[in-house]
Amino acid sequence: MKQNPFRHLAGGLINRDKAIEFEFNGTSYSGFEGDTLASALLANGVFLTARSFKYHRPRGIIGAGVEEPSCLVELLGENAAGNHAATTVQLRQGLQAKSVNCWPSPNFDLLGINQLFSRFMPAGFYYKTFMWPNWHLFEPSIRRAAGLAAAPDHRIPDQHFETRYWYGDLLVVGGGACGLLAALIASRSGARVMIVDDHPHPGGHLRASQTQIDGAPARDWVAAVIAELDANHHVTRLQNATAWGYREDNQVLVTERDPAEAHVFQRGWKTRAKQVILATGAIERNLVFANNDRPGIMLASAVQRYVNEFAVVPGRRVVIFTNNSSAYALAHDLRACGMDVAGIIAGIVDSRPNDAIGAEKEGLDIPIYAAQHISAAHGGKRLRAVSMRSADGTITRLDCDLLAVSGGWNPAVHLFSQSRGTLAYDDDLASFVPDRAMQSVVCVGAAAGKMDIGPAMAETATVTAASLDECGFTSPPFALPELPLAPNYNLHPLWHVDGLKPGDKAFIDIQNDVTLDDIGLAMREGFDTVEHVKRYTTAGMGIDQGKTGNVNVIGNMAVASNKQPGEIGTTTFRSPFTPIDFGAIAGQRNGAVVLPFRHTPITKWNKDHGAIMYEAGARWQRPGYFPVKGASMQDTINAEAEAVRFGVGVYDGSPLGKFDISGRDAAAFIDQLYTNDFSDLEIGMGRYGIMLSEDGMIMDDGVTFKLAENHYLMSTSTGFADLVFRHMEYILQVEHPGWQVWITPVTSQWCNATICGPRARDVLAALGTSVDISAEAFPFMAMRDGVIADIPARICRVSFTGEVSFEVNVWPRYARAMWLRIMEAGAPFGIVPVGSETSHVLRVEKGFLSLGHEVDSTADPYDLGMGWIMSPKKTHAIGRRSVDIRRSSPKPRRELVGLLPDSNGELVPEGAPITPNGARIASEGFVSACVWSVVNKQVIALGLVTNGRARIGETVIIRDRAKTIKAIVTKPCFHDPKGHRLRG
Amino acid sequence: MAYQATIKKQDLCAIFDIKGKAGAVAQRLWHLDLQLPENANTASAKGGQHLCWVGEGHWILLANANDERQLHDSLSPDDPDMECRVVMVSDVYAFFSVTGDQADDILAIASPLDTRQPIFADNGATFTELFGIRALVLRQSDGYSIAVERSYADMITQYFDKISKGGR
Repeated sequence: MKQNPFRHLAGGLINRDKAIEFEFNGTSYSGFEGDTLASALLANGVFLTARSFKYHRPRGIIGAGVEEPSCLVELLGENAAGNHAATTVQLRQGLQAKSVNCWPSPNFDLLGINQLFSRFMPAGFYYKTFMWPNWHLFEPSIRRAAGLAAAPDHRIPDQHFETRYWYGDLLVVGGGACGLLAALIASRSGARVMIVDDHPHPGGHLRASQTQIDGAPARDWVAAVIAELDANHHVTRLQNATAWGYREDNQVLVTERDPAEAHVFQRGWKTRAKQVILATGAIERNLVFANNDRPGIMLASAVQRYVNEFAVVPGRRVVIFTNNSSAYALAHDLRACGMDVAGIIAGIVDSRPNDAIGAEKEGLDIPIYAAQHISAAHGGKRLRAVSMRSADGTITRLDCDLLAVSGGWNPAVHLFSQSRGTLAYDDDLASFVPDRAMQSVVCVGAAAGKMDIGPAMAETATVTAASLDECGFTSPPFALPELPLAPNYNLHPLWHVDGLKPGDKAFIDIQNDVTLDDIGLAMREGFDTVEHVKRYTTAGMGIDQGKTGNVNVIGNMAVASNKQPGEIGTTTFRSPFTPIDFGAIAGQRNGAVVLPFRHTPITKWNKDHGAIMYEAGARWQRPGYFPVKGASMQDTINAEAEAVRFGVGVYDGSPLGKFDISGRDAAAFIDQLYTNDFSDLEIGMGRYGIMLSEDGMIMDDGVTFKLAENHYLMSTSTGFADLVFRHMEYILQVEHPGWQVWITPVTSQWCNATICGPRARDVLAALGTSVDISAEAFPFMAMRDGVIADIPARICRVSFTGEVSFEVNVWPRYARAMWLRIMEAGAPFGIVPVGSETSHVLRVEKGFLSLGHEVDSTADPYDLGMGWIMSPKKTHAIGRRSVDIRRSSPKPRRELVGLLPDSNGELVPEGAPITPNGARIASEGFVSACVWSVVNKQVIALGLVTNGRARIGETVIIRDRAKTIKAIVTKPCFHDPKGHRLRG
Repeated sequence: MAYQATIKKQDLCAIFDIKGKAGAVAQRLWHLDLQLPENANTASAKGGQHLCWVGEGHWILLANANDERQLHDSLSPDDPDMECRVVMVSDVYAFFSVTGDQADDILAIASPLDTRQPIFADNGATFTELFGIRALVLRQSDGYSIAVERSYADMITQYFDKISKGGR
């Protein structure tokens, strides 16, 4: 265990009574409760923490919060996760983390050799270099060399994610001075308020500075505000929660880490407020000079936070390099804790005197190098010195191991931009500020470009009052807190500093290893818009989303093209604002419920009897087959199919879509939906129909029974029931709003056990029924209501197997009882339950169509040899006209045929193409289904073949990957072509 | 329970799907002494029966299962020859009740429905989304009654178990 050599003995907001042990890159360290991983590493003197994305240059910690572009870590063990910024990882006992993108360690990284070849790897070199023979040849090794942490190998069993919705009047994003003030004012109005803050503790920049409010440390004011907010039950306060996405209708997505409820690991919030106030602050930007990525170079605001919040000074001798007034506060703080500050380099490149800066310098006994800038940093794995160039070109070397840089502040406009608000360039800030809002959102404080806290809070109060007014609330009288007078924020833009020698790398986007030269190269190659430069160089992409580098890219593009940055514009800010866990997006939708599923009352019985369950469309789980011990899957399916062909089987047909359709115009409506006639159907009888889409392709098929005058029961395929319902409602609501037709989905009102096979009637008789089930009294396609086994039932004589079938429909409350009685009554006849695999075999033997196989949205009834279903009287049926137009063309069509593959008993993959002579050329058809036929004792198939019906008897060639299979073209029915058995 | 709420799967209810013109529906239901709700997405209630206005020309009648036969006979659901249509759909739905101090929290996890009192008051009744599935939610004094299509009942049960216990 090591001590904390870079931690002051006093100060900071950490809990020194609670030491925490953790591990980084296999070495044990200690920190304190309240530390982040980054602050603890710095306290322990660990400065080399990462390697860069592309060149594998040594990197350290640069920031102190979400802006961190450099030190991404992979968390190991409990709560394993990849690509978290070390600055946002809260230290906890036993934490294990390792650096990403280096092997074996950041200190000795074998791919550090990339640095030697870096001049050969400019922007776009991937695109230029790895074109021949194929990008995919190089892709695996490039991905291994680049990239970030891998996803965890295993699911973490104890992590419970949750998502939830929140609705309210006002959402405040940001828990700094302005955010807290907005929430406080709003909370006193009675509005329902949520405040979201991404830090573990509220206060934002107040927490990292020595600011005073109302004559006391700002932390006291923060504590008082928090106490009042927490006492108000109209206020929801999310701490350690990041608002990362802004969607339509003011929906803001938030991920909350470690919520108060102990059983929840992370929670995703989908919030929707009438008004949103973005108090997201500002992000300090880097300065661009040679070797500005060396470990030991940090943002000035980050150093200030480490000093004040964590009592950590990550160096022994500090230099500050700034182009603006804000960094002077750091100098004061460093001096206050006795640090050796070698100087402040005021990097102004024009001839103006450095004295917009005035009051900030008061009381500082630190050398201030005005009108100078750093032209290079020195050191490899740790900063050793900087070279400072004066206006006359003199180079001076300053030894230091910590360089705090400040290139100005960029308002954190990410969420505002995601809300589709426009941005405008502000010359005074040399950055972009919110301009025109497109939703009910307003920015306050630094996010609005108001960098001075006093005026920013005053404006926040005004803006909050206006927002409350929009919500219908009155802003309560409110006295603004008193703040000491402070110098105004000001800066001189400094987009880059020329290096000491050509080839020095000055990084603009540290996370993506994009240099100043890369931007220049992209522009020279013609990529002269910011979106193109972004894509060509990758600047501002990925996790970083341009937090520290984007405005520098824009500024340097402006310099190179002799334009103003405002003319260059910004790229699109995308969500998430910062990396978040996928789990918090998915929430409770994982494990067994990751996909929706539907059960019938028989599902449990099926599972209890060992069925292999499949999804059978529309999320219904159905048995595929019932494995028999010692038998192969094929043998099992054969046995089930033989039972139906030669004995009796039963299957759960409950998932079939069912609709109750009634009303004066019901018959006309159904006539329009189907291509054949239904209006002449007799009560108690059913008819098979095919439904076309407007383009004349088959949409669905099914049987519709007439229950009474103007009253029908329509069945549809399982998977297309919802589509058909939508189609029907469209027809009614849009095409025929005056028709009186009512459609009620009753799929789950009826369960169906289909008893099928030559002994089906025997089983029904054994059950005992009030219905005369003789073939004469109860013909094929008839329907009867009655009682079976003392249970009220509706029986339909419909067959999808080609055998005698009785669909026994009962209400679900009776379904299990009915099923058990069928199994009991059928036992003497050898009844077996059959799965969908067997149903597939049986329907292929009959040549019955199946949606998703023969019907693939390219087939019409003629293609399937079902021209008989196209009633010549029904030119008004939906899709009919399209069919007629298409068939007036002489172009050949693919037609349904049977195939007898010469495959030595092996099944041919469904979807396998049929090509002329088996050549690798455009196909002339495909295999739509292939099974082992228990009645033909051979492999049979269905397929769609160009001009297929004219080619019966010919041999075609099926391609199965490397091999070819000959197949004889036949008629598409292999069993009982006259249909005697199913009518029997 | 991780939340102070009680979630129970309920026994079968009598449910009738009613479509048609308001006048015809009121006439068909007159003997129940149950007024049509005045506002969409609300329910009127009397004697344990709830009439939910869930869409244009669309109501759902909820009643105790014991009343099913009587309602079936009196509402003539098999008679389509009128200006409205009544279909018995008791088996289509499975019912859950969510009650307790944190019933609102459970709903906030399960559904995007805005359950704030002024918006979804005690007589609120609406179809909405629940764990990604269409559901009928009825607000009652002590919580919510939720109807989902019966085929999804096992899935919804698993969801409720997950959010109640905090497991995966």
